[in-house]
Amino acid sequence: MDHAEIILLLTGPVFFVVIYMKYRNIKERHHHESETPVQMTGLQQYDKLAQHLTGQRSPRLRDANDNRVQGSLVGSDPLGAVSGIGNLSNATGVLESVVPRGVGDILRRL
Amino acid sequence: MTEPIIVDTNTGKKDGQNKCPNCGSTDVTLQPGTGKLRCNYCRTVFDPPKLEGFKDADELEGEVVGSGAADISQPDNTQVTIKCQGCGAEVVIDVTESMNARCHWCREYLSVENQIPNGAVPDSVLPFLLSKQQAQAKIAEFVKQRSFFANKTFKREFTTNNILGVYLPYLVVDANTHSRLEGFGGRVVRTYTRGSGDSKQTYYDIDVYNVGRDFDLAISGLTVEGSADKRNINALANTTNVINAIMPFDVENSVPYNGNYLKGFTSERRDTNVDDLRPLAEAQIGDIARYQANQTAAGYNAGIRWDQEKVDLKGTQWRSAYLPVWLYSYLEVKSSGKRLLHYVAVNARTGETMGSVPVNLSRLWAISIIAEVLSIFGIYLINVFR
Repeated sequence: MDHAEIILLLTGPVFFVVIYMKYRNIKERHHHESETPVQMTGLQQYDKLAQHLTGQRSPRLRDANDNRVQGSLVGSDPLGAVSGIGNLSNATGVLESVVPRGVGDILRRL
Repeated sequence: MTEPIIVDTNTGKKDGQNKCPNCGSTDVTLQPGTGKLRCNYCRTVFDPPKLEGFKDADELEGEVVGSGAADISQPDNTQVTIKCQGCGAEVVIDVTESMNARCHWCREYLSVENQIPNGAVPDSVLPFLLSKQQAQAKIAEFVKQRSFFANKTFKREFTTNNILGVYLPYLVVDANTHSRLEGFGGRVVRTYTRGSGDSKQTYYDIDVYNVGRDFDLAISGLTVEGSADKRNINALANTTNVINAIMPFDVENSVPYNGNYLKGFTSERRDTNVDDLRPLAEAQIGDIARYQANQTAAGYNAGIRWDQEKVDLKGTQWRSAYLPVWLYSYLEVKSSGKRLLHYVAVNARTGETMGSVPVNLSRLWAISIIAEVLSIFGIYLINVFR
């Protein structure tokens, strides 16, 4: 099975998750980091070439953290921080809330 | 830690009649669409006074706190007895229900103006700008956009007639900071592929720079929810992130608290102290500093790894505020018996709208399964004609 077939096979579950998350506003939050008025003064800066990396598989630096947001109530990692899906017991609870009742009973017994 | 400087926003205020300075009537309410107070007797419209005593963010040193943001020491003290200056009657107001009442004898309007340590009277208020009709249109438009997968019962019962205007409690933070960030930034200088067919891979050459940024930052109007319930955000268990998502408010246009702004609206008391919110506010200030540093380093398309982030708070300023929200709510009772309260909220200053609509899971499952069956059929066709 090649990549295209795997992507096609995931269509149904991905569609379900995307729509459900959209209706639950999983990613919606106040972007305090960019939406709060600020005035910057006295900027001093330096940029010194330190290294030339060749043959990297990712276009992002490893451990780049410039997009990190620590003070969000919603969390920058929506699945992990908000819902606790990373936690298996929570994940079962989440699934129970969205699957038909019969399937929910089976999940509960697992 | 040095004691904070208190900005007294309470002096001169007195519970009871809050009269029109032109004619003396107590029938003063918010004029729809302008955010100004209007006397309903002589029709005078008042320009709101400016919020005084607070400093600009770049002038802050140490900690400044508005008296309306003082610690809540009497959370259960919700009954306020007001002596009507018109007839002398004593009227009891439960501030969890309303901040205004009419004297049952002389029919004069009375309002709670004095700050008592229960979080009910803030330093400032941002008046409603959007009318109820405008908010109803925003809510109806939002629900329409999400109607396809909306629960059938919800669609049948949905009406915007029962929306409420609510002043929600926030703490507004200004900060004067000095930030220094150091790390490594990357610029992709070459993109190329190696191999062929299925083994074809993309590679990148990246120049890595030692990056440093040092700057002063004056932050104005960072808003943090003053209600613990509204900060309890778990999008799968409740819908409170809706309230977070409709920020920001134009808090720079806040006016001194005046009970007349609350007539016809409900309000929710603050239940959180400055000390409880300090870690969250400081984390958000750190996020703002990092974001601003990123803005000065836009050429690093491979990202930046900030190894050191130091944000010195030269001064902070806290004041409590009531901010205006139009709220539609709907209680969903699921077949399992679980209850989930949904909101659609409209920022009554900017019109920004966000909401939660109950999902028709049967329809969502059905369409997801159809999509899955079609994709399996697609895979079958690909293999047949390959």
